[in-house]
Amino acid sequence: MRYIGYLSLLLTAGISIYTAYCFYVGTKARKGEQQQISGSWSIIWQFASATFASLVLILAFLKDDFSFGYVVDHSTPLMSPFYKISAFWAGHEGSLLLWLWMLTGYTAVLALSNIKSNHRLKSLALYIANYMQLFLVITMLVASNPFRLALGYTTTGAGLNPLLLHWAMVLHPPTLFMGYAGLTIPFAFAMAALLSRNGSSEWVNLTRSWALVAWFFLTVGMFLGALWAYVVLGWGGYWAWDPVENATLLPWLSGTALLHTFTMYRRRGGMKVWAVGLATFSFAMCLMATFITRSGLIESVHAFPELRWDLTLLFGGLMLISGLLTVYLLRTRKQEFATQEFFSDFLSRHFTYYLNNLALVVFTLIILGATVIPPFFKGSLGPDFYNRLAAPLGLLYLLLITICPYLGWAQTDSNKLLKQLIVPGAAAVIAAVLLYPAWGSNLIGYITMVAAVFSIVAILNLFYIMASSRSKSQGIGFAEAFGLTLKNNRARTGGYLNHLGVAIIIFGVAGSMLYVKDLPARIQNQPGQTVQVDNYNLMFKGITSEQRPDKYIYKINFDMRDGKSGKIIRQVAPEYVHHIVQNQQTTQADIIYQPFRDIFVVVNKVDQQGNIYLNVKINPLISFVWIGSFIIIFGTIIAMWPKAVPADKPEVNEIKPAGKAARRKRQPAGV
Amino acid sequence: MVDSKSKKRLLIVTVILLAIIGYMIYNSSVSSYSYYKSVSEVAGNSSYIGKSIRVSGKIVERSPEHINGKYVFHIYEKDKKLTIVYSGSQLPQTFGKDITAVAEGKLVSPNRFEAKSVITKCPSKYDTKKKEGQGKSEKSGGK
Repeated sequence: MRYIGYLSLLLTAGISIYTAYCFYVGTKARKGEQQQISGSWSIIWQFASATFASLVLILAFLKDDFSFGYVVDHSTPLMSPFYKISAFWAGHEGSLLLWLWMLTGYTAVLALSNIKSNHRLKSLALYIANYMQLFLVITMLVASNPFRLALGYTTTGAGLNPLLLHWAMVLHPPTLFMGYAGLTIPFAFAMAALLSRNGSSEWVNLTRSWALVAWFFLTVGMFLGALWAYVVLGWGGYWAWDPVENATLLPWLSGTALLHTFTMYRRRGGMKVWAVGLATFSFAMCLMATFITRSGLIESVHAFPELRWDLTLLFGGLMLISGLLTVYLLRTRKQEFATQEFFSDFLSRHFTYYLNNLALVVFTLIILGATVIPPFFKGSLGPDFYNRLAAPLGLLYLLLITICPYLGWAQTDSNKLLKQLIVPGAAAVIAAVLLYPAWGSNLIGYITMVAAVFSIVAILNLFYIMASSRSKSQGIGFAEAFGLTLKNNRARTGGYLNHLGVAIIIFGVAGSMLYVKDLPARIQNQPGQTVQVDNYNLMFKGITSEQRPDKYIYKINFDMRDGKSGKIIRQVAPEYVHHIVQNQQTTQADIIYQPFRDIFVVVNKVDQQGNIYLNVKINPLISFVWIGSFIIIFGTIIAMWPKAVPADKPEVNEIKPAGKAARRKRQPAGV
Repeated sequence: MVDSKSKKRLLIVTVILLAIIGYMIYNSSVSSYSYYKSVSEVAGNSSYIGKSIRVSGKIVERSPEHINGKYVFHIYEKDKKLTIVYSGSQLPQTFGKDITAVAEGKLVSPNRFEAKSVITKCPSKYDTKKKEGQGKSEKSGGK
């Protein structure tokens, strides 16, 4: 079976080389229609072949085929089929195969749409994306073969790390890889536009929804990772600036900049060089993220093996080549990609969009540098480093994204702007007064929360302004106007919803990072014993145990009561789990979810003297982090929702007459 | 469309912003930087006293002692041993004998290390070549 898998990889490589030939000849020649069509078809065949290879690997996991070295490393017969499938992407070999599978899926969809119409930009983009596919196949064939032979005969494998056995952790990697694979498409289109010397917004229109889809998956992937860390790791945190977490943030931040730049490109013909640069940068960050997490570059909770030089050379080489190619092509096509409208006033979106790009690229580079550089000097930068920077920079950034939508593209009426900010300003003052008694103890947290309230109200105010001006101009009711605003301006309302989500998350982050109470407690191992922690009273009820095929679970049962009223809140049962295969202990927190705080109960240890050591952790406002995340996910879905009119309708790339554009965008203070 | 006056203004703002951010980065990296050392480098070496260090080694005991609200345990590498005193409230979930731990903090006396944070390394998921033999794991432990 290993050979079948390996052969299908070889086959994919073969088709890929043929594809490259087809598109090369097809896009060069004047009458290359036929070659382009067969190129598109062979992209689809690559998908079939990659699918076949992936199915072979999945089957090997399901059938416990321990002749596969990769299966030995990551699976055991004791795992449920669900987790066996997830072992597919547990190492770099499977991750690359998954990436290839997803990328070929994306390009196959693109190729399908190219067969009938044969669009030159699409053909060129497929040509470029095909090289990425070829790169992935070759990397697998030479350096990271998922179908390699096991060393020696064995009937069981190492299994997955018990901490990773959780549904969110199963979905987290493939979701991220959907994002990484997706960001290859904007890069491919950027290169296609450069190659064809087409500086119009055509390529942006073709690739915008791909970038959005990729960004959507990156967001969901990060959300799942944070959720997993919160629920499973049991320290009550969801973000610790771990290298692996930082890695996922890199393409997300640069992707965010890319999406905004696309808007500037489409609407105003500005920031063209930025758009191309960011497409390449985001692509490189996807490679970087995979490299960081899968090559053994950095010490982290995940325990990387030593650095793989072959992978370093391959990934580093690809990043270098794509960077150099972009620089070279941009230099030789300066004219075609010259910006059509440029910054002239500080109170304008040209300026705030620029700041946005600058900020996001700088954030990306800070995180990248701090993650990657210290290990070369046998050192590291701890979470302190990031936290210290995140508070001030995050706050400024929040204000930037709050103000930006109020500005006009080129200039802004400052009186009108101030008038429009009266409501959010007043809300911030009220919040400052109301929040002080409970939250004033931590100055940074307090300021952040007030600023977040200002942002939240300011963004809600935007929706109000948009809907009410529509209701006036069209003479319809407010509710109907609001619905129409959501329906007709999807990209815009989706974007604003995302801003809203970010502001709400920041509110939650302030609460759940800066006001956490972590209270250790000790109780005798005798039923009926009680202990008072903060406002909570815990009564020990006894230990119950349970045996599963792969683990023993010990439940330590308590009744949790409100310390004052004595009313029972809930029974809590944190767990202590012994994993048989891995011979490891893990603890499982019991979490009480309340609207404004979560209460964690974790048992750390039961010692021989009969003491139970536990921790009660109170995390305020954590629910806002999840609510904000859901709003972002929802907002992105709105922005992605296909329009009735096909988005890739070629658009004349000229700035619209000022009168019409201004009329359409009159609602914010912009002129 | 790019006039040089606007470009100049934009450039000045950019330089100012980058300078401020650069200063902030410098400031917080100086105070948060820690060196990565192995047990054999640190244990008994008084020249490291007071410096921010991350030290890794294998845990000696199955579960730590609880003294005055602090966790106390030992990590070793070959024949060198270091006492770790951890003041945090909760140890990582996968604490246990022979699990590799990374402690971050300061050396207070030649054999006593006060840790601000302790993480354990998950042994299986991202490992490419494990359980092939002792030689390999010893090598990665030393790094």
